[in-house]
Amino acid sequence: MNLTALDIMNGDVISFQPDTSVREALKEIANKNFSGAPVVNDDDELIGVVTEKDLLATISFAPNNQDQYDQKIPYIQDVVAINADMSIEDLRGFFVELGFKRFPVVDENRNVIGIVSRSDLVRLMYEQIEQAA
Amino acid sequence: MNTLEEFHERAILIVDNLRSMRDVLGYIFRAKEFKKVFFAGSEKEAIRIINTETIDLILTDWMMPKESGLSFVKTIRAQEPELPIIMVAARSSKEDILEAIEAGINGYILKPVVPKEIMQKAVQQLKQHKMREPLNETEKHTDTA
Repeated sequence: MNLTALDIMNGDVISFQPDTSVREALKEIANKNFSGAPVVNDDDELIGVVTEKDLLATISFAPNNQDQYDQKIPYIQDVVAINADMSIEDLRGFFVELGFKRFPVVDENRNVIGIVSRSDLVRLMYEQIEQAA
Repeated sequence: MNTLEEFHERAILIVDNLRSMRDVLGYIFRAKEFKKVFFAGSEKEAIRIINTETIDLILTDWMMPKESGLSFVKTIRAQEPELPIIMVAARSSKEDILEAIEAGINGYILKPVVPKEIMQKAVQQLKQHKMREPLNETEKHTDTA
């Protein structure tokens, strides 16, 4: 069975538009317990990633300064996304060699269809051990 | 992937001021067993490598430390008219892409990068580059006949 990133990714993904406010992003990320999310354009194509770290770097802990939460989210574009049909072995290499914990997964049109994490891969490895036992 | 084996000896130069992107792009090629992957963090470093190594393909960022990637492309194009150059950039407007084409690029890839897209465009250029080499040799013979 030739498994791919599509088979192990988490399809329950939230994404933001570039004009999303920091307030909205914090709310969504906190509620879903995610550490980041993809940023997409009007055509739902991936254009970047917003992370907890970048959000925290944008604001300060000042509950009385609510205006800071109205600014647009910061996002980075110098990142890598995984094509959905990438083999599990290739995916393992990306996690090991590049040290990232998760990648957005995109289809042929660059539309985000999920997130794949190292823990997804570990879970798959464990399932294989269980099946072989 | 056996279909890529014929390209494993081709030399790739990755030009990006960000170490993280150089690592990502480099790994995309190393994962497919390309053996000659060179890295430059600046235009100056890139030109030094081009002058000392036989490079088959350049992938360059738009944003460079001292000059724009477009200026870099023009410089290389003047020096190496046949060397394929792919621009890897976050800029996606038609105007940006047209400007890059006018500067002399052969291909354009958007950031965030997707490994499959990178490999498809790189192989496409390497195939075209390979085909042009015998033509140049024929022209040389014609010129000297």
